[in-house]
Amino acid sequence: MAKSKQDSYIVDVDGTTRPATAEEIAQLEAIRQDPQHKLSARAEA
Amino acid sequence: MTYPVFQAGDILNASDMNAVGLWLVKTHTIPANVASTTISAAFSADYPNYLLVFNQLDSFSGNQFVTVQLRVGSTTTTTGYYSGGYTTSAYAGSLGTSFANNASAWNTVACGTSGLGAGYMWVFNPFEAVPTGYSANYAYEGGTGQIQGYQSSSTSFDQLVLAGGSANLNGGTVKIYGAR
Repeated sequence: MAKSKQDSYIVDVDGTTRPATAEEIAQLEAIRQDPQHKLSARAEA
Repeated sequence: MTYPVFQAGDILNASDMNAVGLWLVKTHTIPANVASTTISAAFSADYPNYLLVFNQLDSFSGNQFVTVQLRVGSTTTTTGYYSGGYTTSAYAGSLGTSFANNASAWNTVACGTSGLGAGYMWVFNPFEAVPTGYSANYAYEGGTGQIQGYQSSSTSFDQLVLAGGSANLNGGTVKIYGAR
């Protein structure tokens, strides 16, 4: 598929795919914005 | 019979079968372009430790870690993740580090946008009411790495939540084996 736009979908515990809730989006953003979860810039190709 | 070589028609003796070290618990497919994916019924009282084998991991954007959070029921634990490890660039030959102190998830394996991410991760005592440990190794088109750590709570977990450390995940498989 074309990698043009990221969707905010969650695959749930029962295997169904659904839009993420606002709380879940906030939690994922917390991970993505936390520098502890970034690959070191020196290590990236 | 001479364990572990079985012949067609052999009786499967309990002593032989109970000596089998790894059993496939489940295979989970990571869909394209998802913010996170939850693996249910991954851990149970059947096994103390688990081997997760990742293959064909793909990132929606950029090189990134696959982050893992532990979950039970409808509650995902979002604090108390500790880890430390080393990463390398396969092309630049440089060494990097990854350290997380009371973070919201573990950094585990990694992937880029070519779907070549692969690696493995041992998870220790996730279902026991003690802190859960892990040890991961990986390689992908952008580099390699190894990272270890633990989750500090004594919660009994039965599920995993996979997400990207900086973007959506875009595919891959995870095979979970229980280790006696």
